[in-house]
Amino acid sequence: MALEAAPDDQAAIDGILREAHTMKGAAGMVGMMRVSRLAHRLEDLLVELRSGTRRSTPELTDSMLMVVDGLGRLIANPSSGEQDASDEAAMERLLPTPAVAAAAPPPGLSPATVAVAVSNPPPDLLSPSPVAISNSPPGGALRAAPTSPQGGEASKKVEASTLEVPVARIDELNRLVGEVSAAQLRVGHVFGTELHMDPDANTEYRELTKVINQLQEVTERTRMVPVGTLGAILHRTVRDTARTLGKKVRWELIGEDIEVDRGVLEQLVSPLLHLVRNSIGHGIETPEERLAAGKPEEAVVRLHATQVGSKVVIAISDDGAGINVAAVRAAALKRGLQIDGLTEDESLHLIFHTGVSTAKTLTETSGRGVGLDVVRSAVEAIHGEVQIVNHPGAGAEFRIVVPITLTVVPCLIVSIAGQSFALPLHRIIRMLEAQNVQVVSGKSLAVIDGLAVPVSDLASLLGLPTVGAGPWVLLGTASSPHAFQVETVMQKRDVVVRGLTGRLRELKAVSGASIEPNGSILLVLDVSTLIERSLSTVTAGSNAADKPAGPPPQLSVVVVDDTLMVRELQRSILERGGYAVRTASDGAEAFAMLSEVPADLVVTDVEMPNLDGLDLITKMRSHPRLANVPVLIVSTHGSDEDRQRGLDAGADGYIVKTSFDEAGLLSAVSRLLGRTQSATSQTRNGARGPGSAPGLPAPTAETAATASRA
Amino acid sequence: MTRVLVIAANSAYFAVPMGSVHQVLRHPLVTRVPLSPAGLIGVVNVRGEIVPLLDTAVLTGTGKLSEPPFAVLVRSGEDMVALSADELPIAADFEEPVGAGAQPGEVAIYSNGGRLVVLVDVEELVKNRLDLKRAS
Repeated sequence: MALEAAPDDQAAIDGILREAHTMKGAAGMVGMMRVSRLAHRLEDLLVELRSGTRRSTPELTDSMLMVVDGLGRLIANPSSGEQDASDEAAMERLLPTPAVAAAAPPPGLSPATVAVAVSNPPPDLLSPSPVAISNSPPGGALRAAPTSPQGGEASKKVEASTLEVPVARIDELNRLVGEVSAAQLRVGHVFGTELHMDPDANTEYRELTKVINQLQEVTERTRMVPVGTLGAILHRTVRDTARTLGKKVRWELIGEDIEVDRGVLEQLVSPLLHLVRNSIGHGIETPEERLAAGKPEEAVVRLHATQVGSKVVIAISDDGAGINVAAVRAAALKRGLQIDGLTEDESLHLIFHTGVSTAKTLTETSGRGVGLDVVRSAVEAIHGEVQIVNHPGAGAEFRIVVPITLTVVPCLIVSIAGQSFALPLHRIIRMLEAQNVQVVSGKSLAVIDGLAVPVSDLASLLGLPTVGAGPWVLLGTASSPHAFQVETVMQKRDVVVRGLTGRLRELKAVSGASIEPNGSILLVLDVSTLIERSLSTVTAGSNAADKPAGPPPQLSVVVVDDTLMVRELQRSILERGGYAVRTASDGAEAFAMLSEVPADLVVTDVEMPNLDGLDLITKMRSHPRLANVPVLIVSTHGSDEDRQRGLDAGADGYIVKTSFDEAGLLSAVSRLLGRTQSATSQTRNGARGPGSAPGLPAPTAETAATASRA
Repeated sequence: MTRVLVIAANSAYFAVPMGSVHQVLRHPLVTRVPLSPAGLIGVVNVRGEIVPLLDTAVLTGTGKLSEPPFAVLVRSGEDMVALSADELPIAADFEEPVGAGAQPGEVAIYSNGGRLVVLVDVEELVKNRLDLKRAS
């Protein structure tokens, strides 16, 4: 594909030639003569390209790519059969005479074997080595080990520093390190309970903690692969789909070095392939239409990966026509979906329903109305979500937000009948106070955000005694929520979840468990089972039925960040936390917005065009209506000097983006809003009080800024 | 001669081959699992591994043990499971059986110190008496 973009690139030709030559020799040595012959013909063709007797054309690239696919199939199925022989013959026919040949299906993801490549940059074995794990089916699906198009010495060097290790062994290593960590926590617990000592006061214990933490970090990295691993297969899909549909498309990959858990990335292959095909099939116009619309003939499909705290945002965007919301609504109506009263954004999300397609014709790439619903299901299965940003006439962006790893899951810890349980945060829409409940047709329902939502008492549902009536947790999806009353909400925190093994996997109500520092086991509840069980249980009444009414007033937050992705991520987190959120792309826009309608809190970046975050805070502090509005800085800069500058400007809290996560943001926002009332009452004359005002919570990592300012 | 570990549950006695026994836990810290069947008392943490604690009394049809003072960690097929016991388990050597087991998972009946003890096959017992998919 690089050769197609630059037909005269001698380095690229030489690189492929070397690979073909190596394959020819290696295949011959192990008796794979068909592979060897085919590689030889490919080599001949490349020699012609190098000498200039033949020019590279898109058609030639098609043939060569098919040969490469076919070679992959031949290598994956070395047992020679008649089918193989016919494939080989078909492949040979594909290549222009007298050179090579080949034919094979489009690049698939049929995983033949799973290989793990561990790169070990010697000689310092103690430094955290970059580790890559990849599926490397022939035909080039996932490749993690760095490869050099030039091959030769560079390739040899890479090979020398990599080691293939079975994935199961890596997983076992991770599990054992997890056990070491759990055992160390238990030792710490024994220090406290048996010896009445703070374990951290012991130098050896602190040293052990440090080493185990490093060990855990390094071993966890063995499961991480860069997003760029998917670059080749996506690029190929973009190229082939565009050629099939007669469109001109350029592929761009930004953030290829962002790393994500191998298990997560594997689950994203299919959704991402679908999204790029969808972009080209539905979004991007023909060259003629683009020229008529005043756009460049060549369109762009871009993958942009960004890490935001413990999540990775992978956006597939294009500069096509965008999504026609009216067409989506019409298609949804045709499918019998209820569309009355839906907002523009809600209408846009109808494309995630099965059978809703705006394609006028059924093609190989689109039109069946299945796909986007599968994309969403696949992403939700790995605790992620899909967002859409639509710019009619200018393009669309599908943004997949997934956790970097599945082993650490942000959870809400609740108490039911005196026992703690974890609920994965990604399944929680928000928490709320108890509402009025009415029994309709045997079901307990409450009206939340204009929707009649089923309500269940979680203790009763789990067969546990109901000890006390506490807040509600809204679980499920925004379009299909379910409220569960819990006894107490204890905290939000990351839980290192291990899957249950053996017969325990059969338990439906529990999706995983975690070993707590005191050696006890924290169970992670399976939200789908809870909802399913609740819906199948007809209740004549509910413990929640007699609760006092009155929804709490919704607090408003303004999010200021010049990066759309970060802005939208923060917005979605805060909305899930129950806040009304407005966004601004820089300080100037935010200040204008706040001057008109103040907010209860502002979350801002520092570096932004027009008016940066620090200047925004300064302006707010001198504005009579905004002087007391708490401000939380969320910045990429985390040095003491940066924090101090934030404090000096008048910020109330400071979170560094690299350590930012959903629980941390909500916790910091909650704390700052909790203190607002007391602080405001003390500073009604306009003078800002110190952060150490009575009643303030103890300073934490995020809000330590406040305390030190005092 | 068969070396076994004798487990008491509700004044009935059962035995498992000593070769399958890994450890005896005293006062195991049990985490209850909601919606689990009666045969599963809960889960216990054994050196970082989450192991099901099974109710020996329920599995053998002799009643129920809710808060067992002991648990015997045994290998059951590929899995590790803990069997509850209401007395300190003791080792014994079995010679010839005095009767055949009546239920699936009961291998044979032995006489030991004047007591009748049923030698059980834990894997068979679990397979036949515990359906974790069925919520209580």
